[in-house]
Amino acid sequence: VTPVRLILLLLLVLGSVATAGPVLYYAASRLNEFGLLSPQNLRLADAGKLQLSRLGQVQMLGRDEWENRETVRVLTLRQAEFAFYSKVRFISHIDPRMVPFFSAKTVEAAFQELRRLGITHVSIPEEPLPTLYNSFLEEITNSGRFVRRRDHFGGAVLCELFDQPLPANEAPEKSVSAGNEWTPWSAVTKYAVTEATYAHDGTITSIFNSPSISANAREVRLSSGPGPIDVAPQLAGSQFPLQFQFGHEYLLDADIRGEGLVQVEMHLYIDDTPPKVVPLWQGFLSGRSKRLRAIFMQDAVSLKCIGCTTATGRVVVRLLSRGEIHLGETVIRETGFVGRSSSFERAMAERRGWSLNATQPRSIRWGLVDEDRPVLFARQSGAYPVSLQSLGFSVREGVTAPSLSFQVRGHGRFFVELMCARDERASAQEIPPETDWLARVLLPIESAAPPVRSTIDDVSVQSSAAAYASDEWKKVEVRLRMPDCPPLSRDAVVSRRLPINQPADPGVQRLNVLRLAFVTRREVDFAGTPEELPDVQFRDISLDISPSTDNQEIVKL
Amino acid sequence: MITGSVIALLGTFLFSSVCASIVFRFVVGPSPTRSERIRITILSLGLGPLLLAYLLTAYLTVFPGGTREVAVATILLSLLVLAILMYWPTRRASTTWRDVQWALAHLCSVRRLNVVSITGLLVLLFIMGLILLVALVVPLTDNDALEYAGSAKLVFEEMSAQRYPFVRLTDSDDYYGPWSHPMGYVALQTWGFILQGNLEDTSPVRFITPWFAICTAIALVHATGGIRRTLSPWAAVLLLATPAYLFTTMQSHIDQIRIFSLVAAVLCVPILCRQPNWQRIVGLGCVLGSGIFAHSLGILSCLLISALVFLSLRTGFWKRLAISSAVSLIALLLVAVRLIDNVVIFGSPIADVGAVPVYALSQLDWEAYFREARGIATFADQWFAGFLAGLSQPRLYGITYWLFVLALGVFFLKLSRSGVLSLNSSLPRRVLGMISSTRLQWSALLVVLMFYCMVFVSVVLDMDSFIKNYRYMMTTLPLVVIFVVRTLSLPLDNWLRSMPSSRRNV
Repeated sequence: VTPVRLILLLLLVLGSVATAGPVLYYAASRLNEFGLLSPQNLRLADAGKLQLSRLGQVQMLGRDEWENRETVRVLTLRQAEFAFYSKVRFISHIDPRMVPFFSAKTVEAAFQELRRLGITHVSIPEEPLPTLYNSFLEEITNSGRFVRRRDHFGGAVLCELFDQPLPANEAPEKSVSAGNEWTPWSAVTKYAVTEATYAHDGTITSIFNSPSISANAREVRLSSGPGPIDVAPQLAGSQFPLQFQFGHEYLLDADIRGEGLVQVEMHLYIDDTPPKVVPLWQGFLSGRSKRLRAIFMQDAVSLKCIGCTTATGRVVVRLLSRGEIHLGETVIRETGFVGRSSSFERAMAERRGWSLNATQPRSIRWGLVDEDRPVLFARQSGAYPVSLQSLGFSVREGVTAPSLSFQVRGHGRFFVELMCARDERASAQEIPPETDWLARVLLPIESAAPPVRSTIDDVSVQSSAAAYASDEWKKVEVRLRMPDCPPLSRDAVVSRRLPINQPADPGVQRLNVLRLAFVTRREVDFAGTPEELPDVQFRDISLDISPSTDNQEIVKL
Repeated sequence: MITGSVIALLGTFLFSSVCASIVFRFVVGPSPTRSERIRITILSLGLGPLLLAYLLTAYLTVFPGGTREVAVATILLSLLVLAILMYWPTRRASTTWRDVQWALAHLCSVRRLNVVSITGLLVLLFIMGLILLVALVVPLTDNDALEYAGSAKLVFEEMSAQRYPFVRLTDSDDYYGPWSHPMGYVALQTWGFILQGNLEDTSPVRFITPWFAICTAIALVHATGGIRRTLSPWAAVLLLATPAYLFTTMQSHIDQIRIFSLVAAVLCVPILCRQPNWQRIVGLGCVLGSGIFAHSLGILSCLLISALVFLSLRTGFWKRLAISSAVSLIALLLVAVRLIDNVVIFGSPIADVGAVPVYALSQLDWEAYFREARGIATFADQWFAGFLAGLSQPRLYGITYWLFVLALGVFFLKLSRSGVLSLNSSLPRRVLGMISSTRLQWSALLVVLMFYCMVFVSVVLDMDSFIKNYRYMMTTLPLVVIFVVRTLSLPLDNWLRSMPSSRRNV
């Protein structure tokens, strides 16, 4: 082998890899987008592959309840998927018939334009589009005045509108000035960012980001309140941090001017963990003044502090591209709406310690409605079951058959089970969701007498889960057999979410930590009709875990 | 898995290609050379489906509302009749069959291959296989392709092209398709649905773009000298593996059709120039028109091709001007109906975003969005990321444009060695002599340079039209590849010949 031939060979290998490699990579990523790297999926029809897709609007169009073309019409900010795959009526955001909507002077008039076109839903993709951020659509799709519920499909959001907007509420004003508490905060900490500068002249706070080539622009942030952005403002020394009540809706009103891609966020701090980030507004500015009105709801949930209702916050303005921002007066006030958003129901369930466990949390509705008595609901709309798990609670040794009582209504099949919540990690603070499933108990709903059947064999129980259909609330009492949980290790840290009924000395008495779970069940295979899918509600769930009859110990969940 | 409709689509494409090759024999006129006949046969692979799309559009416009069986029968019959009409007066079936044999030998003969070309051929087959696999199994989800399919869906449901483009909406309409492209791509998609009989599956539609991409690749193998040339398979590999071209192919973009037509037109210019008779003028005009028929940006190719024809002809000034304008005129005539309709609907023959009323609303400030979202806001961006996109964005264009720079260097080195650029020869005359050469290397380079001149002028005038979209910059990609491969293959061949042992092995 001569060196020349070796060079030729190397060149050939290099050329082949450099051309075939990227092609292979791109083809594989295309296939992977639809789960087609698993050979069994290759033989699915188009419709089946689309269901496996991770694309927001494609998932959205797979909704079963969208067969009725007459009453549903979706305003979509990305027409493509609707254009070909939709079974419902739709209208594109750049349709000429939308011109009156964009020209409307007030948000109410704009909303009436939507209704006039028969629009019942709005579908919003991830990317910022001027038809959203420069029109009343932003306010309409964010506010509980106009939106009945909001569902997430991948990165896309589907908002269902009310027929008529709810009347606006007048509420006390809370104001944040753009005073000295705005701190510049650059995203780049490793290298000096010479292009980014910050200026402040009493009423207007400005940041500039001016690299010569746009592609090299690094993000620059501006946040309200002192200290680093990960730390809650009161911990960083702010005396009067912004405070927000759980479930309340707020309106941010800001004068903003400048150029570039801007993102405005509210960071909510409820405990010492990193904040919950609520995106408020994202769009391109072009030198004109803009009055930015963004609505958001405080629905931050703490895993550590279940009763916490007040969060503190920071307004964070991010300049994501080359450009500059001048921020004038900034005011935040309450809109007066409480608990209107659909994600609020879920947040409330999470705040009470109920967590969702679904193999495929795709267009599943679940949450907790809290009117006079809290009602837990779950609606399964895919092939996979929904499992609602309570927070962990401790049970003393000696309890053999705790009795569970709850009220139920709705239709479909489900079962309840007690699960061992085991946690042996020394530093752990939460009970991990992937706890062991040791025993499942059949819930015989139709019969009055509750026979206790417990089994380790999962299959036999699952196949006999009871079906149920009633619009009336019905009380159910059932005795469950205790699962045989392995003992907690000595140094196990019990979750801070556990309720208070812990024994005085856990070292002396053996303690079990359990969860209660409601699991929906679907007996037919995927080809069933939508009506067969479980849609159930529960309330007044209480579990009697007394070891003997004389001292009652009841867990209300 | 391979549904009947996919086979039907590919079968009808092949049938239309055969008919087109007979029809286009007419172009070559009385005394074609062997290489011209091979070229016509190879280009017919892509021109055939476009002819089919043209007939389908005409049928759906003139006879709306028929059944799909009648439509299929009519189109296939009219293709056949067209071919027979062209073939009958001269009856050159045997020669036509020989054309196909020659073309096959030109493309597929694996004798006399060396290790470089065999590797290239294997890589090429691998890439083509992956492209076809993706087309076969991955559903249609890309934005543009789905919007065109939305039009095709309505055309299919109504079996009528009279409402196209879908901008005159009534209350019962949902879909809005405000583009000024003639129906080329939409008609091909409609054809797929008609063959399938329903809209359940998009698999036939997904093979349209790969078909044209592979046709372009084959045209490149031909343009670089056929399979027996060392680097020819690599030309096709270089085209298909250029990231932007690859993923637009896999996403069923429209541009592959337009780009194919440009390549076909460039390849047909030497045929016209060898013997500029009226058949060849009409033929080149039709090839050029097929590009506009797929995408209204094809109008740009008119300018490029007319200029190329003007430079390449060896006749008097006025005759050259007449012929080159006649070519563009015929191309425009082919799509005249659509262009006139566009003026009525949109106010101009080619309508971009200006045709959409919502884009005109100043309160929405689309300008900032378009400028920022495309990353061409600053002066430096416009030149670096826009004009020089081929060099500055390897994520999109790979190393293809860097190879172009290398090839330019080699090319001019050779030119200066040959004395053309030396001062003592009469420079302008020699350069003009070179430019009017009909060698493909020259034609490709000229078109690429003219295209870049257009882009240059547009950037200087602060227009974003060329640089706003990476797919527009992709227009001349196959010509870049032709130039690169034709320039580099001679030194490479010399190098390979200098080591005889590598030949013997294979």
